[in-house]
Amino acid sequence: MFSLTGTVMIVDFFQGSVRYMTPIMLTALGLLIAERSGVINIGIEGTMLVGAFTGFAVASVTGSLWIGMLLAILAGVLVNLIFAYAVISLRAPQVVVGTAINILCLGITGFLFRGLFTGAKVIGPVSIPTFQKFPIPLLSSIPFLGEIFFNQNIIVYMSLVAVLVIHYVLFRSAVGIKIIAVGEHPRAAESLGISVLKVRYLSVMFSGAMAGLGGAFLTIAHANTFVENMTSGRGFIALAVSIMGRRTPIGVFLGGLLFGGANALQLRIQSLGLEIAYDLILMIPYIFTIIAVTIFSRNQIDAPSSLGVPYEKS
Amino acid sequence: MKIIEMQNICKAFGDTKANKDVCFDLQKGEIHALLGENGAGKTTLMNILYGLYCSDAGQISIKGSHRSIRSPRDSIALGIGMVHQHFMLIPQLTVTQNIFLGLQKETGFHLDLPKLEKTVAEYIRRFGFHINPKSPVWKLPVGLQQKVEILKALIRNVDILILDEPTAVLTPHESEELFSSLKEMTKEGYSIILITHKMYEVMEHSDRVTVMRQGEVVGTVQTKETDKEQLAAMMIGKKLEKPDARQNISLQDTILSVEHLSVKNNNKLPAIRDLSFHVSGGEILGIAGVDGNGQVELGEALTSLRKAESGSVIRIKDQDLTNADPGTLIDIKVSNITEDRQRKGLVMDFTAADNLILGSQRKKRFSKGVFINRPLVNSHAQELMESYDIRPRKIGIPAKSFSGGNQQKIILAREMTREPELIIALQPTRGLDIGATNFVWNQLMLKRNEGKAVLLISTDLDEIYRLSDRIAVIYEGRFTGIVSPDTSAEEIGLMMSGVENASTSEQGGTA
Amino acid sequence: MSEFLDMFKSLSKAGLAILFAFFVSGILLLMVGYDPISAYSALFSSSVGSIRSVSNTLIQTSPLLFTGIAVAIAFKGKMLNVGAEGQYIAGGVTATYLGVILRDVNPIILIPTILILSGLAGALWILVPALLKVKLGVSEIITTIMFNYIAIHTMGWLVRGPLKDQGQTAPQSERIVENAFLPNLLPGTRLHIGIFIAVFLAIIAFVFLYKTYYGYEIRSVGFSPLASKVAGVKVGRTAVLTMLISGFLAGMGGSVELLGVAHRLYEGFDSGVGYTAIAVAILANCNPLGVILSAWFFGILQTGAGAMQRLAGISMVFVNIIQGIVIIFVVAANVEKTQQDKLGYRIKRWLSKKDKTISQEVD
Repeated sequence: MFSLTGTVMIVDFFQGSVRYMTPIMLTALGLLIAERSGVINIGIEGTMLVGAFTGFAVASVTGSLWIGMLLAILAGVLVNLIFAYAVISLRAPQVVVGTAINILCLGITGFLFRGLFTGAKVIGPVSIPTFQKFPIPLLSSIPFLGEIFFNQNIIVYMSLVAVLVIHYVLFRSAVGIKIIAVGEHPRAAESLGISVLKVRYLSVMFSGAMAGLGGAFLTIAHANTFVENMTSGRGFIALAVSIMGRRTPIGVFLGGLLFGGANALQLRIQSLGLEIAYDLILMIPYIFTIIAVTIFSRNQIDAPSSLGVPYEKS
Repeated sequence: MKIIEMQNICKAFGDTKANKDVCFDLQKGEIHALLGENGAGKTTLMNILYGLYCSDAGQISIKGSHRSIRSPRDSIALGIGMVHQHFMLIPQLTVTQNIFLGLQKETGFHLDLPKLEKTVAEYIRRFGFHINPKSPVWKLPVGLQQKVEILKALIRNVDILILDEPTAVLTPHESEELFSSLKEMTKEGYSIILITHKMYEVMEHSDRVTVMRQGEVVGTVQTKETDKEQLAAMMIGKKLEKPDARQNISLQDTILSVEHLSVKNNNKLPAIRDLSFHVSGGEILGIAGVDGNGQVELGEALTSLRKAESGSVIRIKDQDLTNADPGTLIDIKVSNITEDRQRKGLVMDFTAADNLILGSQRKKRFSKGVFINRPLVNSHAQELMESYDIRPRKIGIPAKSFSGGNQQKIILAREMTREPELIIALQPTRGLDIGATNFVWNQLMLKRNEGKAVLLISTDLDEIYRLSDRIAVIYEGRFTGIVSPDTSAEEIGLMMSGVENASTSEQGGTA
Repeated sequence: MSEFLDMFKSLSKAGLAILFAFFVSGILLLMVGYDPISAYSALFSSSVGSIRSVSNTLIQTSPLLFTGIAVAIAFKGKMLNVGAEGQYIAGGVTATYLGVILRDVNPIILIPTILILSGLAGALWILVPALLKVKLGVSEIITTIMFNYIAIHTMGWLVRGPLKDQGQTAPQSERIVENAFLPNLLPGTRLHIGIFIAVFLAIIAFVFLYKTYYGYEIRSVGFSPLASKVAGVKVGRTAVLTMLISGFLAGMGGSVELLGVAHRLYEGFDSGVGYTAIAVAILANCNPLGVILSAWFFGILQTGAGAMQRLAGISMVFVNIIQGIVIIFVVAANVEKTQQDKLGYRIKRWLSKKDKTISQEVD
């Protein structure tokens, strides 16, 4: 039996964890597609950051959150296009390029924010409105779940829809099996007239769009401004969530809840001033991830066979 | 009716001519075998037909009209399907998903799996296969995976099917099943090209046979009007002379003895079955055989790169070295010339000098304490490049900048200066020009004349003849006989196709 | 011989990439309305313009040099250690703990003991990823990143809990004893002997990598594990050794920073140095001697960044743009020539295909 305040607290707790996990889940949903096609991108942290900044900057200048969101998605695609060119066409090492992208994006966003939105000459206000909660009629009145999942802002709903859409596309469409084929056995895919390079480019660009949107969530649907390096490792967490979710949308959803839950739990503990080492709680998802990769990589049917391996046309 | 006619097809890879003025035709409803040794140009020819390679010259007519085939897409559209030796299946996807992969135009974006599975099930019924269309491919045994490959071609409405060494991965029972299915298909009007080097398959299951040798067509005959002997002779050509360098020396002690060795291949199928033999000092034992009969696995097991299954013993100089560390083998002076020099023999990004000490970097002669004695390594490299005539004579450039022949010389120079008691050489002259080939042959002969033991594993029968003191023929992981090099090429050709040699004189040797 | 030729080649490539990056970033400065000349002069005058600024730069250089060599050695052996950050923290934590509890020990014994034990802590921090990689084939990229976060949160827990300085409200550890402070090198500055240790280790690392058979085997496994195995090199053992050395150096880097500058542990002690280390190593083409220069270059940028913010109002992270562009261009320049040729070839083939299609339509 929950007391009323207890129930409210628990709902709050889950609502918070859904909000926390939304940007991570969006990004991880994109990553799983890129990884399924054979590309691992640790530069996704930078892509998110660019999404966050672009979303903020455009919303600030135009006054429209929607245009901000759209351009954040485009900016994410653009960043990943650079990454894709280097690792797919030039076959440069993926870890190195990813690191460089992270460094570059941290620089560009921080520099532009300071240069264009603070100081004497600014091109727009430094604080912007955000997408507000938008309860979905009927659904939001479901006990517990309604409040947790359906009394949120629009981007949260988009991420929930994305789980289902990507699940459908990956496992039930002609495009999905192409992506899987390219990641598993690029030569076989090529022999059936599928262009490996094209599929990989598009997958990485899609992942850029999702990370751009995920990053934009931080500014246009959460905080009302941009802060330097505000993603603070969420891209890396998305990488972990994608692996922990075994690169399936449903798995990513559940993995995201675990990370989100751990984070919301530590915030709660912090606010209650309890003498529990909440840092240790934050550590749990990472340990889970290591265990998950270990178990799944022993099971040889898990990671795409050609993950991280550049494809050379014969 | 000729449904395929290929005329004067030429194809070169660098300096090697893989196809020289090749003419080939296929009749509707026949099984046409394309027979030849490894490297004869069969697969190249078929890859041209399937659009994976582009021919340098020549014409292709399909069903009476000239066609240019630039990609598999083109050939599939013309009704040609190919089942590759290495399957092109995605293990994670189901049978149905694999079959409809890349057919977005036909299926649409949405995969209506129940409907597609029904279609697949109809095909399965029609051709008498036993496959569950919903099963993920990785759960299927190899024989069924191959049938999925065939279904993949059939569903694309092809009526011409190319099968590249289809029985290479099958059990005898699965092979029989496959051939009865193929026979059924020809009755329905399908035409089939069978790339193979297995004589009995040709004799049992084909209507016509085209024999290729060294990139050229030797001839096309009706299977009914030929016999194994004639085909073997066509495949192998005539026997060649021996090199002069051979000296008569008395046999030394047994260096390598292998007893009841069994080894599995990458697909966990038996590759070497209960094999016993020995090699003595002062002789070259040549192991002949068509590619894919366990040669690579044998070489790898002898050099500890592949696990020997239980009950087998490899002894070198009376020391049991079954599954020993590769480093131990080097220590007791076993030299290894692998079949894949770029991946196994050399570190391609290392300099020539560094490659020339690979494996000996910790030996006293090249090190001082933990340090590598660079001046010594360099002068050693300089010397070897002179005496083995490795060009260009630059010890400081990476191995990948040398030509294939010179790369092989680097390996040879390194392996010979270990003063080996036993040399295991796999395909030591594959891809080399005549000069480099002669060089390698003379080196091997030199070691033999010095009283060392040489195990030569090669698919090049000419090479085997020129060098060997005894010839063992390997077929499906077993010897079909160990014979003297006076044996005729026809006879050895038969042994290579699996016929046991009754008069094997020197079985087990007599040293 | 060849390693010097390689060094020269990569040096000139790096130089060009740096010039290019400054140029592009300069344009960016102009576009946003800053004056590139005054920005760059602030950057350089504050980092190399005076004794004081040179010493500030060297202070910034030393953690980058330790972690840079760590990553360089790992990458030479194709072990993609993205976890220098975590190993650096492991070293810093160990140094803090020892520096706090070992009260009355002679510095001559204390400092080397702490440095070595911190190095071992760094090696321990990479041990699990190393074993998972070698025994089970688990990607070290993922596991080392995860261990970074475990290190960050462990550190957070320690500075809020067991190691917390009870006299302070801010989450930070007690200060280490003065006996454990690294000796100062230049009176009037904070420059400590850490940079000497780092340069010395870079030279040792170079000798180790190019002059000993261990280094030979590490590089050989890095280039071709299969050929190495055929030649009797113990591939798994070499890979683990490579990772442990890498972790050791990063861990020691953390302790040098702690004993030399920070003197106490606090959240954010790591400040992303492990990721920058990847850039440092790549700019030097993973050659330990080159890492000295490239760490110094990154040190200049990080020192100058502060001055640019103070004097010209440009965000400190601006220098990251220069760093990122440099790395992308170095990587692009190092791409095998054949691949670039193939790209050209593909474009040509694509163009000729178009021609063919047209001519066929005419037919």
